[in-house]
Amino acid sequence: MSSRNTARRLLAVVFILQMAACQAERTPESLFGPDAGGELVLDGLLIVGRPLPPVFVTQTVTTGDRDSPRHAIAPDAVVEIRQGDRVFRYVRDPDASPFQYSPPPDPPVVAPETRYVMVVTARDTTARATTITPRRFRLREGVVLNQETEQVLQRLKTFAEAADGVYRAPENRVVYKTGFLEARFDPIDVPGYQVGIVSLDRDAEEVDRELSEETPDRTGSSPAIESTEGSVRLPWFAIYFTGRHLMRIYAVDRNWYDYARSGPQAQEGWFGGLAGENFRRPLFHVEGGIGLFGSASVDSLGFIVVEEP
Amino acid sequence: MYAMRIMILAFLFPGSLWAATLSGFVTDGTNGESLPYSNVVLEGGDSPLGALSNVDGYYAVQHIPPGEYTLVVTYIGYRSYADTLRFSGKELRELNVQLVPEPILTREIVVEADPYEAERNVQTGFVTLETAQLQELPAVGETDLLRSLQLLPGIQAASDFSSGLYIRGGGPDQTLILLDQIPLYNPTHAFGFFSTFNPDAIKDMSLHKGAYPAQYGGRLGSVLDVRNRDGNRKGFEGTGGISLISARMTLEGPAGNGSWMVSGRRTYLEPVLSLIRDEDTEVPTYYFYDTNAKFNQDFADSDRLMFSGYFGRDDLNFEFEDGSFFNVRWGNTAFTGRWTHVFSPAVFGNLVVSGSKYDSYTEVRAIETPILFSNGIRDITIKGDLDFFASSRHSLNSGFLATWYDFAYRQSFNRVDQLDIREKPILLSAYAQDLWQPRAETSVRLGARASYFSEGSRFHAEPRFALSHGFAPTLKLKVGAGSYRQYIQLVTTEVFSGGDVWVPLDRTVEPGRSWQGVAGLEWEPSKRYELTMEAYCTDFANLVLFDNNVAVGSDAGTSEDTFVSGGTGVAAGVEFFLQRRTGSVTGWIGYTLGWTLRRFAELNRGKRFSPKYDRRHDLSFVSNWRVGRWTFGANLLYATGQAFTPASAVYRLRTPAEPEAGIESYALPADRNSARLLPYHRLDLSIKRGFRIFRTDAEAYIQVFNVYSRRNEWFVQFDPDAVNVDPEVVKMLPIVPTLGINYAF
Repeated sequence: MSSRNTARRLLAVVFILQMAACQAERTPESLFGPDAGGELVLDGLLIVGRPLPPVFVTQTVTTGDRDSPRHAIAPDAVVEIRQGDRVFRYVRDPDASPFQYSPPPDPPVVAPETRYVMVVTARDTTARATTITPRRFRLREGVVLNQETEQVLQRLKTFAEAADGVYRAPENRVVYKTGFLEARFDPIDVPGYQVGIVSLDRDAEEVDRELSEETPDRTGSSPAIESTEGSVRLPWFAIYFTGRHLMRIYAVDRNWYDYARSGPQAQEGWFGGLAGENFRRPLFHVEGGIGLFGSASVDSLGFIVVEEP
Repeated sequence: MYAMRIMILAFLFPGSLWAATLSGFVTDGTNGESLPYSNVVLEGGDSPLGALSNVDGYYAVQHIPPGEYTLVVTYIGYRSYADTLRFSGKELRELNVQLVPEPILTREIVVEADPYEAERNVQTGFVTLETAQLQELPAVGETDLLRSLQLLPGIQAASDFSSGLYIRGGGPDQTLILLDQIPLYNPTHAFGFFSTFNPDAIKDMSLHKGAYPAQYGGRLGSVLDVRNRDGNRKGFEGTGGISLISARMTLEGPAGNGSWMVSGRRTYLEPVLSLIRDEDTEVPTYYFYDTNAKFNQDFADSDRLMFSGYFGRDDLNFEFEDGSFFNVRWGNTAFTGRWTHVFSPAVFGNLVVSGSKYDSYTEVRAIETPILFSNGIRDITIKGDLDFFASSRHSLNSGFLATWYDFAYRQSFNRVDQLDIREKPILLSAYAQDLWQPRAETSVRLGARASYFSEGSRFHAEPRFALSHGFAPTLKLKVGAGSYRQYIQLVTTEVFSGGDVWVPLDRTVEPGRSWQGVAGLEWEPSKRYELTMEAYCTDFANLVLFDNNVAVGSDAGTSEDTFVSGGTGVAAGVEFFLQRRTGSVTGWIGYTLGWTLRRFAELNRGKRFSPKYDRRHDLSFVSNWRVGRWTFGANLLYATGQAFTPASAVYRLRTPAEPEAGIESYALPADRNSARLLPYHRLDLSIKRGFRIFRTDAEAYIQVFNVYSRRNEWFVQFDPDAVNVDPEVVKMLPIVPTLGINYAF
């Protein structure tokens, strides 16, 4: 075999493989698995000490439908929340949201350490989930700590001390990126906690930061946290705006905790999403469906963010 | 009692008790490097007497009846040594044999074992590779040991970016990787892209793909044993190379009654990266380096001392204008001191004291929020081995190992410790095995290893078995089996091996267990061709996977909290390997048909699933063609696409702690890894030409990785926040040309 023939054959192989290489593109549909549309999705979050809230009921949408809200409506759903012998029948409230179901008038306050069951029936399918509410939970204090010595630089007024006056209290003005902002509490018997942050001033200016998103959200939340020591620190990267902020600390039940540590928010944050390995089914605790019917006790800290002088 | 002794001696020494013994070392005549597993045969008696040298090149042929014999010593890539010897009766004769390398044109490229060794060696799935063979293969950027091994059947790569070894259905942590008998915990540079092994410093390596023998332990799957060069005992020499990524140099020479070797390698990407950097573009600084050193000294004929060391480091730093930064650095440090002693012509022993340290440190400061992950492993090991060449039919090995570990793992966020684990377990092991050759064409190796791990006070006995039988001079059957345990576990992501974390399994989780069985046929119709076929089956139990759902601040810190445990699995397959080993065109075709499955009660709703590296078909074609000073190389690979988890539906939920955010849509995962990426294939080509410059032998090369630039799929990324956006298929490397020069003086 001459070297010229060898070179020709090699070129032919490369050409054929080059053509084969073009086949590496494919349609997005081919990346979806077997259809799991039509499954009931429960969304009910009970907060201890607050009235029984509206809930949301939807159904999963097949990937081929490309997530149309119309397809997500669970038709003729019968929605109830049961507590002991009491049954609270919910009614659909399409004016508020196509998926919302509201409780009966004058709903009762959610009691601590109490078992609630959410039952949804639609198209001969019943989905059921149970939560046991945590006991009441209170913040002890909010402080700003020196980043090096961890000595208390500033002690914030709580809502228990000053109600809405917290946003006028000079103690509650925190300088962006200065110290650690820490909320302290006496731990209660729950699987874990979750922190939510919301910027309350719609016209607030964005803080000056290098690692900024294009359109920062006004709300954010932490991963699930196990805090046996009774303190959580707010990272400064969770702050995008100056002005009034509300930091909520939720002491959550098992359902809420498992969803927070396994749901879509928990799947973010790893570089490359663990090369796809992090895309996994969240921990749902719903019989006959998916979703989250959970409960929490919550307390909050209010403060005003100001830029460094 | 006396009768019992006679019976034992008669068993061990079935020939005359008063015959001669021949022993010595087999070395490379050009540089004095020892030649492990060389074949020593005395022909001329009623039946050939023979021995296989051990890893130090030491051999002993016992119980030689009086008479005249022809001593033949063979070793792959070397001219055979032949000499006529006469033995008159009881005598202890020492003969050190120096073999001369064969010209490169007749060298074999990759072998499983040479024909003589194959008859002696009963091990299934045993692969050896030398530096010269390694450097013949087309590579991406740098010649790399682990990437070259990925071309062999039964060994898979996770991606173009990974040098991790996925052997016969096992993950990278299930392969024990040793450098001069020291375990390396993260054998990679550049986040897994390259291995830590400098090809110039490597003398050889052996890989047990499965059913490995009793002298090894601690991993469920396989063993990669890499040995660095001892150093040239005859004269000073140097080798080196310059590529687009790094420069390397190895120097070696004689020292007293021994030798020394120093080797170093370092990247020089910093100037390139700084050229890209400007006011608008922030570019990280990154480098890695590694150094190897070895010193040998002989004392009389019966004692040798060897000291070796390894030090390697990776450092990536990314700084932003507002003081935020990302810094990750990791590396291994290892040293070995070994004393080798010939107690008698038939008894050879060595004592090893070694230490290894691995640490990884990831520090992030994101907008005045400090985040830290640090992991450190230190171990000190004392290890002893005794080889007893009992007779021409029995070769006994035994040994012990004691390792003191010190594991530390710390994770903190905003200076609050979220995990702070410190554990100091002890591993004690002992083994014994006998290689018995009842007939010339049959070999049996029976062994057992016993281990005690202090965490949880675990004690396990692990039997090992291997058998080979030649049906004909060209056809041999091999069988191997064994039980294996693993006490330490790797937490890793293939994307980011710099943050690899090793932790011991504590009393809350049972250590992993595997049973392996291998059966194979070897057919060698001529010295040029060899065809092997091996079927393997591994049953796994007590497997663990890192639990991605671990909450922040989880302070329990037990293995039960950290891992999803109690997994079972099975890996089975058939490998075919056809080699052309000599001549101007050499190479091989390898094919694996395999299945790998896992099951965890807590994952995938308890249903069985394929790990992502499960491949049904894996085909490789590797070839080298030498014409004068030119060498042309080609690799052609095809593999079934990796498994991935597709989405099966879209669901709507509110974000629990963000009541103001409203309802959001998310993709619902289908069964774990229930779909496949597109098949993987690529072609690599290389051209090399040797020349002389400044009285130095040199070689220039051009390598092209993925010649037709197939954008193979790496993984699928579903954006949970943008479910209406099509999932992104992240691709692997396009065409990557590289060039460089190797030299020797």
